[in-house]
Amino acid sequence: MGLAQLVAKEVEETLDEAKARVEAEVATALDEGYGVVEINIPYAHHAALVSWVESEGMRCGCNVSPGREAVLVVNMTLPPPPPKTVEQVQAEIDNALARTFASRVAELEAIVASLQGGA
Amino acid sequence: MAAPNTSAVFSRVADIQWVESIVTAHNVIDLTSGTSYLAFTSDATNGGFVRNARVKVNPANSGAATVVRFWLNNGSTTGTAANSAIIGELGIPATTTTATAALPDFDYPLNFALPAGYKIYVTVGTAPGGSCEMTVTVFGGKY
Repeated sequence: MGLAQLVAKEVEETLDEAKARVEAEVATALDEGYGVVEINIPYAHHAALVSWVESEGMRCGCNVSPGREAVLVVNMTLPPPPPKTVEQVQAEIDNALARTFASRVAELEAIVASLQGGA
Repeated sequence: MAAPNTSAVFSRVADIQWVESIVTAHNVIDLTSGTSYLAFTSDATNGGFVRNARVKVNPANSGAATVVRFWLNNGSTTGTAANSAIIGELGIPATTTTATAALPDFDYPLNFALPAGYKIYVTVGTAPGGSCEMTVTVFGGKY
């Protein structure tokens, strides 16, 4: 088995498959009268699944345990948190861009310093 | 009524747990949404004592300034807001990757007994960014 196939195998479930399973488990929990359901999910998809469930109108969190075991916690009785404003999202984008470039510059400067120190 | 215990209670064995790969920010008022990281689960029978939590930023990558928030959970689902409470915050300054100097240890003192099954979750206000990750280690003992 090639390396690429080994890597792909680690994420055993695609995002669409995980969404379908989450939808089914939420429906089952609602039918049985539960207000909160916890669902094991692949860690790779946790951010996307949280966003998706909240876009569907339910409060959703994710608990990550050691070893990247992720559990989606869906509360069907609560609405999602209010959406961020355009200004808030723009500020986050600006902050992320500044951090990305600043941190990358710092990394490169550290490499240069270590090379100059060893020259 | 049984006589109250007046003797000191010591943990019977060390209990050190950690959660790594902390990368996702969470800025909601409780744990019912967003990503939270399970740092410690107390002994299911007698509970335990937690002394402190240590936050380490991965020194191989530069990290953005952030705040680490500590939450106490009663062992029940985080999907219900009343099951968790924020108990502390620790500011983490921005860090620069280095192979020649030590990054500081960010220690948050806890020093309290946990009932059986209680948990400590952590969240971060700003993602470390890039390839940077954080690890939170809780030092404690089991009763």
